[in-house]
Amino acid sequence: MRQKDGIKFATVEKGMIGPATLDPFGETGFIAIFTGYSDVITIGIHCHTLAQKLLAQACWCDVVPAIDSLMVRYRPDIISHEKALADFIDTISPLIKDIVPPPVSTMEMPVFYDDKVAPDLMTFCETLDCDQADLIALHCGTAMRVVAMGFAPGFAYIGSLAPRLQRPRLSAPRPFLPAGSVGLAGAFTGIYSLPSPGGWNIIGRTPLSLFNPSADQPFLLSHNIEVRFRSILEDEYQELDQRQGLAQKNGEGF
Amino acid sequence: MTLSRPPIIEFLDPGMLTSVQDCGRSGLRHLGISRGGSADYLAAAIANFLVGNHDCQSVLECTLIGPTIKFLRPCVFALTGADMMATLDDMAVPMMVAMSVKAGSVLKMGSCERGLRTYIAIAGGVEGDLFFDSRATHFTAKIGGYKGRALRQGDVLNLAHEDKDQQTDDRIEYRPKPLVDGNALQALVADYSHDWVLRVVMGPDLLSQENENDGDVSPPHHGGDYDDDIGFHRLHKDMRAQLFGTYFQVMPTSNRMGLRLKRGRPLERSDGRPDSQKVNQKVNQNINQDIERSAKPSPIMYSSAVYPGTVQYPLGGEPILLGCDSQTVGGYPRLLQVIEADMSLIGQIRPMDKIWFRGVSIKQARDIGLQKLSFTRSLLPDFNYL
Repeated sequence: MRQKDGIKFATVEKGMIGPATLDPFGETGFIAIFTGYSDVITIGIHCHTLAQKLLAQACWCDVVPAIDSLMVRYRPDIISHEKALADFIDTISPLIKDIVPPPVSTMEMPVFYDDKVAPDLMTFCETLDCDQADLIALHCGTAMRVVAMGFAPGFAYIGSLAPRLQRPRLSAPRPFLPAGSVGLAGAFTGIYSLPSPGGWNIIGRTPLSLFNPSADQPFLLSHNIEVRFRSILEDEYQELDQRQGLAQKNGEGF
Repeated sequence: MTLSRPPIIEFLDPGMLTSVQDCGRSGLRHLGISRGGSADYLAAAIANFLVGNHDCQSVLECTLIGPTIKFLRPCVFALTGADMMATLDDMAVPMMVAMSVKAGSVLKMGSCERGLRTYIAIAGGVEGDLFFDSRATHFTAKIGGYKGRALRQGDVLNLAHEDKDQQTDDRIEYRPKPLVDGNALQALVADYSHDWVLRVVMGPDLLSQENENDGDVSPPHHGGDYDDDIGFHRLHKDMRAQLFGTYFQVMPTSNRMGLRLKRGRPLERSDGRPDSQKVNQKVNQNINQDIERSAKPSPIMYSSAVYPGTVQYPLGGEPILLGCDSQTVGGYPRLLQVIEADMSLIGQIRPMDKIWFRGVSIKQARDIGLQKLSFTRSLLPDFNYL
């Protein structure tokens, strides 16, 4: 039986990263999935690094790095399929030895953990068989790194979570979540930067605004930032919320 | 800088959801910024072409029920997309024709019975805030377009070249293109109905699915190479029945970000075998297992790239067909991908319409895409939506 995943990279012979797989995505795209690292942080940084190289090449109309995957789409009117595939493989194949994560700055992220703003808080605690205080302590206990950006402008994948907090996302996404919703899924914390549908387990909400289009730096978070979550009470939430204008962004209070 | 002339249009009635759109913000998905722009970008390009604009000029996108607009200056406009039975000063306005209007004329759009979106192009384009070089309205981020929102009663718009981001240039005037054969352009427009056929290729998470040879599947014919000609014949027949044996109905909770689908009832078999009910049950039993198997790499799937036309199939849930405002990454299995040639149709599919997916191989899709692009450019020479 043939291998399902298209190319299994000939990693050993050619000294490439590996193992990684390459599949078509749509008729003008490719997606590589890297599985050769033991932790998601390293994979994420690797995908980000490769994406920067690809973004400098003119033939790609989209370059989308995620946690352990990297997707590109090429412009069929300026490059042939064969050339695009070869270029993609060339760019992502060289082994980058001994990735040293770039230095990080730490940022504190206030979160109001309360079922008023967190529809999954109670169920999540029940699943974990712990009380809210335990959950909050676990979530705030360790600083975690921004591993990938995406989904919506300013949305960051922050990881990795304590193993005990790692649970799948909801089986079906909710049609609407307010901006600032703090969710857990798999190994990551994600913060919804805009009101949107979403399937993560929502355990709190931050009053900080993650996307400010009119600012010089529109994104609050980026690669190379380490986030430490801090539990806040309703008073502080309201106060910060006023300052950030997030309530206005969501068009509602709670 | 002073503007001596009045704005070009005033909204007497905004319609259901009318916004400023253009070709959107391409190439920013690595920042989490979706492309957005006109949902039926082909209709928008045709409208622009008819009035002499470049193909990505900002237009008005109307949804289901159109606006009533007063022209405050003479101008040239054209309507494309869904037919909303528009009238200009109580006279019917044809679709796909450039119209010259005098100041004070009122364009009144009704609602469409087929399709969902109508595009109004005005020579010179309509004003909108620039964000990353695009005037497209991004509703959730409240950026671009007119104050980042849908138009409201009383809003007035200038032409694009007169807005605050650019110098006023009175020398820019409407320069009509050589007369276009409207019938020829008609060849670019699909028939709108309530049943849509969208051609799809396998999504990345379907490709990884193990092929269970049930005797109804062609034997694998490649030896571990990158497969250029991947077709759906490899799939288990139950999975094929799940995806292609029936229609998917579009739910009212759909929007520009995605169409939420509900799987319709499977068709009765025509050979008289009384097993449609059983097939249905079996399919429903198997589907969750199939989707579960298809999700890689593990029970917890890492979020990974999606784009417009991706069909996500959440485990145990109903599928979502991502639209022009699609998020950049997602965590649900990507089973199908609508081919580029059919992508603009997604912008015209309305709630309660039915979608039939038709599988093609990736190589076929590529050939179809290149043919379509070349045909489109034969009629719209500067079409550059890629």
